[in-house]
Amino acid sequence: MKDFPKVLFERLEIPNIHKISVFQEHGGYQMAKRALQMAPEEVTKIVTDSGLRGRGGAGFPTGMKWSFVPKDASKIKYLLCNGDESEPGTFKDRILMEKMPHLLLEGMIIAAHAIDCHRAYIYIRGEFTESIAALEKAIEDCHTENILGKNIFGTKFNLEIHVFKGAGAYICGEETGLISSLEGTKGWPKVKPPFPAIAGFNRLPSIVNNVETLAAVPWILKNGAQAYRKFGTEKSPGTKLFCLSGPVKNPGTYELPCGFPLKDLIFDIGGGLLDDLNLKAVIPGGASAKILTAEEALKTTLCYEGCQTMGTMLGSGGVIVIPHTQCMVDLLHVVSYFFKDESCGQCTPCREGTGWMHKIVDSILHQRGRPEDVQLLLDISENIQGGRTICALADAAAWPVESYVKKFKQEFVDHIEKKACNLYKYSASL
Amino acid sequence: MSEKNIVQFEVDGKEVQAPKGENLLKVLIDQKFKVPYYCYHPGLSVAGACRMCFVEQEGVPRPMISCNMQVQEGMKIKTESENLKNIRKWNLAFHLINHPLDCPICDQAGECGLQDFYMEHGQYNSQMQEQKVLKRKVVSIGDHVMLDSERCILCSRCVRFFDEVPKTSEMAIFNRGDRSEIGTFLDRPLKNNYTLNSVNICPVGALTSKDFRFKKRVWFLKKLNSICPGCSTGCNIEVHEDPREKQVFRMLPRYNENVNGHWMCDYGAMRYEKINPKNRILTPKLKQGHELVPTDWDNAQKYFDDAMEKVGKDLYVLITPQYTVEEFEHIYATFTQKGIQNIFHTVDEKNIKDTKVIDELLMRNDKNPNSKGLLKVSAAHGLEKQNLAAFQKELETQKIKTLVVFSPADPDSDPEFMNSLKGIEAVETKIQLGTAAQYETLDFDCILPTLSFVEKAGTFINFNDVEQKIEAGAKLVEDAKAISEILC
Repeated sequence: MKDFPKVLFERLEIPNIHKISVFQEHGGYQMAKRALQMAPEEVTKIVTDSGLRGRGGAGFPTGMKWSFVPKDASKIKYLLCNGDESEPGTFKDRILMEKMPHLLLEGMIIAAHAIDCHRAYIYIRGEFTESIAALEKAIEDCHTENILGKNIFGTKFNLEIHVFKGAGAYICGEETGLISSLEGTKGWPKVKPPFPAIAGFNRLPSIVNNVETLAAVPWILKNGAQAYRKFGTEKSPGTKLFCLSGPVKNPGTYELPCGFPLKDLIFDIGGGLLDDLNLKAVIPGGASAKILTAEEALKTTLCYEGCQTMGTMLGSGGVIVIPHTQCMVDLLHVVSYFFKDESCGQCTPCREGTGWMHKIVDSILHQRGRPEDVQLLLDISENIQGGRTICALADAAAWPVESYVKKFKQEFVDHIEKKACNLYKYSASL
Repeated sequence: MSEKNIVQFEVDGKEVQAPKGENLLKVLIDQKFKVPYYCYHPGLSVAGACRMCFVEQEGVPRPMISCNMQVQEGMKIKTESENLKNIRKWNLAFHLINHPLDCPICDQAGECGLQDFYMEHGQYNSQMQEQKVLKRKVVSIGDHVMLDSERCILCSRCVRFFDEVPKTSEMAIFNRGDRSEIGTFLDRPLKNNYTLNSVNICPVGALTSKDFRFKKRVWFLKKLNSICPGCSTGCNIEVHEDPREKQVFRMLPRYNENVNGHWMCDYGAMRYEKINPKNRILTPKLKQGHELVPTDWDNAQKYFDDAMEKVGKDLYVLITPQYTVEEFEHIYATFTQKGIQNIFHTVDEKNIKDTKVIDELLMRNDKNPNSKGLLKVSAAHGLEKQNLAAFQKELETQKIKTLVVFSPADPDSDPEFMNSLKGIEAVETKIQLGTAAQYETLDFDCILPTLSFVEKAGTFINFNDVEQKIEAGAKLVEDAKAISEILC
C-alpha cells in the first residue's frame, strides 16, 4: 500500500501514545504551548488559512466558525467537542479518542485559546466507555502536569475540560441537540437563529467542533496553513479519516488526503469486495448520505466538492460498501427504521414523515405495497427536506429514501408488483 | 412607543407598520394575514416545532418560519405562493396522518386548528394507508384536564405553559419520534391553579376540560365579554353561554396585557357554575309559617314595598361587594334619598390592602370582584366607615327591626357570610336580594331573585382601581329582576 501523508494518524503507531509521557516525548503539547504565546486572532487566522473544514459532516470552515464568536471579553464562551459520533458507518472519532486522547486535548487547548474559552466540554456518546475512560485519564494527567487547570504552562491562561457522557441518541450529534443534552434537557435541537456561536450552551457563545477537526489543529499550527493545503484539493484541503465498512477485505479507518478516489479506497486500500461479491452501490458519507450506484462510485472522489458533483455528500466519511446480493428495499427498511427511531419528535415533518416513510417501506417489503407507494415515498422525502425542519435530521432521513428509490426503482416496483425479490432471501432481515 | 421604534415593511405588497423587532408571525396574525400556525402562542416562548407558519422573504433563498423572524425595516414578505401552499399542505398532512378522525365526538370540533387550517390550506385526500400510531386515550391528568394523546400534535404549548407561566414544569414530552407523547412526570396529576389554561391553548382536542367534555358543541355558544367575578384581580374573560338552554357552559380568559395577560385561574374558570339556574334563586319567596314558599312577583314586590314604607328611615341595609358599581350607586342613591343612613357594606379593608397574589399567578385574597367599587360608592355618600364590624355591633343592640341584605352571588367568596350575621334571627323583617340558592335559608322572611353578572351590564373595579365593563347576555333565570326594577 502506498504511503499517504498523515496529519491525525502521524503518531498513531507509536506504542503507548495514549500516555501523557509518551505523547510529550513525541512533541506533544508543544503546539499548545506555542499557541498560548500567540494572539488568539493569529491562531484563528492560521486555521482559517489552512482551509480546515468541520469533519462532523457539514464541512463548515472551522476558522470562520471560530471568528463568529463575539470578541466581548466579559462574556463566557464555551468550546464543545462533539464526540457523539452517531452517524451509522462512522468510527473515526472513537479511534482518536481511545488511542490519542492527548492529541484531541491539545487541539482543544489551542481552540479554546483562539476563542477565549476557559471551560470546555467533550460530549461523548455513553456507549464509548473506552473513549470516556481514556479521556478522563488524559485530563487527570494533564492536571498533574499543569497542562490543564489554572495558569497553563505558567501563562495566564486557564482551562478546564470536562467529559460529558451522552445517552447514545443520534440527534445529540447535531450541534444544538448536543447543547440541549449538555444543558441537562432532552436532546432537542434548537431553533436557529440564534446560532450557537452567538447563543449556544446556556445561551452563551459556544463553538461545537468535531473530534477529528480539533485533532487536526496541532499539526496545522506546527506545519503551517500552507503545508496543510498541500494535501487534498483546493476546496477540501488536508486529510480526512475514512471509515470503510461492508463486505470488503480490509475494512477499517484510513487517513487519506481529500480528493482520494473512492474506487481506490475500496479496491486498493480496502482490497476489494469479499470473494464472489460484486459492487452494487456505495454510501459515501454515513447512512444519511445519498447512495451511489457502482458506476457512480467508481467516478467519485472523496472530497466535499467531489461528492457534491455526484449529488451526494462527503458527510462524516463513513464509506459503506453494498454488495450485489443486497436487496435495496431491505436496506432502506433498516435505514428508514433508524431515522424513524432516532427522530427526536420535536418538529412535525420529521416526526411524522420518518415514521410514515418507514411504514411504507415496511409495507413494500412485506408484500403490502401499492403501486402509488413509490411516488409517495419520493413525495414525502421531498417534503421533509430542504429547511422544512429545525435541524438536518429530516434531510438525513429523506436522502436515503430519495436516492434508493430513484436509483433502484425497479427493485421497489418488483417488490410491489411481483410481491417478491430474488435478493431479499440473501439479505438479513431486521 | 416612540416613532423611531416603528418600522415599515411589506407583506404581500401591502405596507405594514410594527414595532422594530416584533415577532413577525404575531404581526401577521394581528393584521389578519392568513398564516397557519399551531405551536406559536403570543404568551409563550417560540418553539418553531409545527412548521406551519412558513413565509418567503425577498432575497432569502428558502422559506422561513415567521414565528422565529423579527420585523425589520424594509423587509419584503410573501405569505402566499405556490411553494408555500405546497409546504402548508404537506405539513398539515404530516400533522394529520396519525391524528384520529374522531371530530364527531371531539369537543374541540368547531374551534380546532386542524379543522380550520385544513379548510383554508389543505383540502386534499389523505394518502396515508398505513396503521396510525396508537397512543393513550382518556387519561386523567388532573382535576380539570383529560388527555387524549392520539389527538395531540405535539405543539408543546402546554409544556411551555407550565414551564413558563405558573412555572410548575409539570408536563413534558416523553419518548421520541412518532411515539412522542405529552404527559406529566410519573403520571402525577397536575396540581396548580392554572391547569385549564392548557386546555384553552391546546390547538386540538388533546387536552379537554373534564368539566366541559361532551356538554356542548361549541358552535351553539354565544360569547360575552366579561370580567371574572372570582376575585379582586378582575381577569378579563369570555363567558360562553347557550341562550336557548339558559346555561353558561364555560368561562375562558380574554387577553388583557395589564390585568391577566392570556390567562385565568381554574378557580375563576369554574365560577360559571354559580350562575346557572341549578344554583340560583329561581323565584321570589315569602315565609309562611315555618316555610319559605314560592310566590309571584306581585306579592313579593308588595311585601317588599310595604316593609319599606313601614320602617321608613329606620331601615338597615347590608351590601356585599359582588354587585356592579351601577347597582351600588342605585342602592345608595335610592335609600339615602329616603333619608336612610344605616347602609353597611361588608368590604374587608384588611383583606383588600393585601394585594399580593396568593397562588402561582393571578388569584388574590379578596374574592370579591368589586370591593373597590363598593368602597368608592359608599365613600361618595360618606358611609364608607359603616362596615361589617359596625353592622354586627348594631345587630347586638337588637334595635334593627327591618333589614335588607344584598347577599353574595358566589357563596365561595365568603363562606362565613351567614355566620357573620349572628343575631339576625332577632330582626323582625329580614329581606334578601340575591342570586345564590345557598342563601335560601329560613333566616329570611322574603327572598327576591336578582340578576347574575352575566345577565346585566355594568362595571367592576379591581384591586388596582382598574374599571372594567361586563356585558349583558341572555336571562338565565326567568324570574330574576334587576335591582333597579325592585328598588325604585
